Amino acid sequence: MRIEVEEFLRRLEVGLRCTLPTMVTLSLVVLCAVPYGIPGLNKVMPLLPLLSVYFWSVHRPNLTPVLGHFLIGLLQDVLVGTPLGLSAAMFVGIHAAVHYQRPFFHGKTFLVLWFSFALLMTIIVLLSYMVVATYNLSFVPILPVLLQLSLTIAFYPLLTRIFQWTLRALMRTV
Amino acid sequence: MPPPGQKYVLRIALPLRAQAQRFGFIVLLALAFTLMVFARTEMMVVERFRTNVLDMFVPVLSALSHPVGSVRDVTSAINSWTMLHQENVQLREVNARLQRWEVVAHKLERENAALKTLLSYRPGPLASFISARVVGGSGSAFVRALMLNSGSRNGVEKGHAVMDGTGMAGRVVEVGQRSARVLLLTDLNSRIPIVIGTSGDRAILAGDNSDVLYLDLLSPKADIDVGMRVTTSGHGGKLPSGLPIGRVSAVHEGGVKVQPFVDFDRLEYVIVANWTMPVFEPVSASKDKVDGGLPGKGEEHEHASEGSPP
Repeated sequence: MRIEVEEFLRRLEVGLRCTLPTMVTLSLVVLCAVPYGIPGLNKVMPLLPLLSVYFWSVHRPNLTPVLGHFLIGLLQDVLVGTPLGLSAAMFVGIHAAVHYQRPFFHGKTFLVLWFSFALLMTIIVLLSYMVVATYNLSFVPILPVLLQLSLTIAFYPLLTRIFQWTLRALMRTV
Repeated sequence: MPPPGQKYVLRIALPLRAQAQRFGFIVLLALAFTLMVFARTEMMVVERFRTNVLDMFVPVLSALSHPVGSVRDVTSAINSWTMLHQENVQLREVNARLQRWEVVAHKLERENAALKTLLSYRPGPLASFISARVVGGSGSAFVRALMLNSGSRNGVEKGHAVMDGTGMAGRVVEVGQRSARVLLLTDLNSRIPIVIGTSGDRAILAGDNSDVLYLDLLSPKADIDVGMRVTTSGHGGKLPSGLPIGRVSAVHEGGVKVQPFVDFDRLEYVIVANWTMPVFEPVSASKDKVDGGLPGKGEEHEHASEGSPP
């Protein structure tokens, strides 16, 4: 009996560790929607959830189902107020891009990964900019978009350090 | 060495899996774009989905925004300590100016009361106010919106004006049971009919996702100067007239810019105002009824703007 309980707890623990990447992305979506009252940050919050999608798709592809990313993207659209489906498409786009370039990402150094992230983000953000301009049928100021893009790229080293720590401390076995 | 059966299964299953994955990406992307088209056509299903999800997450955001609020209080306390002297000087100046205004206001109030008696004026319906907490900012480069923790069960409805103490901030565009989304004046899609100063020139106030608003559809004959007050005109029947919005900050060939009174970065609590719009009635039934004009708070502003500064 005791062995069964232990086995159940062990499985539960492994299960919880496996959901960590999705949970991290989900929490970032919610945390980014909170109003911080810091001038400027309210207008251009770095796209931290996208950073999380990229990191986990590169490092733990088996634990990040694309459907999960799609649904979290929809949640982001609802919380932020962007056209429903926009962030979902961005999340799936990043996921798919990493999926098809997997051999390239394997065993690369931090700098290469950072540069690839910057490149990928630039493409995705510019595409989303065009989608939003088409959606609104008007010119959308591009400066805040570029500012948001640069902020996101600048946040990469800090956030990936935290993710790396999570990976080493909590997910070594999964 | 795997048994031969398994080898065949793998040979078929692996490419199948890859195909399924590719198919999955395409389906999800197509779904996302379909949803965007649905959202664009303002389908009820999309709106209901949005409001239901918002309702679910508003308690979480509400709980999270409390500690954030206290951090904000501490930083603003430090700021106000460092700026104490400067603020004091400013407040003295403002106080002196407001005291002069008070005299004008009293005079206008008496005059107004007297004129109302002469006209046997019946005041319009009073507004009801709902206080709400801002629990979500947009943080996106594409939209300027806020989320409130009050919804239809508190009496918030689509189209209601949202203000803080200084002026109008936006209007309600989505309402759930206990949540509402406010489209700020600065958003790309915000269009508000306004009137400028006391001259009565009308225009449409539009946002472009930046901090400054601009005037659209302004008559070329309009005489606009920097510093003129901009208030809602009440045209279109969705908003009351006379809500303060901002001041004209620049006039040039390219257009007229307006600096809003509201500091959008520091909105924490807002007022959702519900004005019952005057209904057109047959003349015989309401012969002595005069359009209620602006009741409540906005009325003071309107009158203040009409009086000549001392």
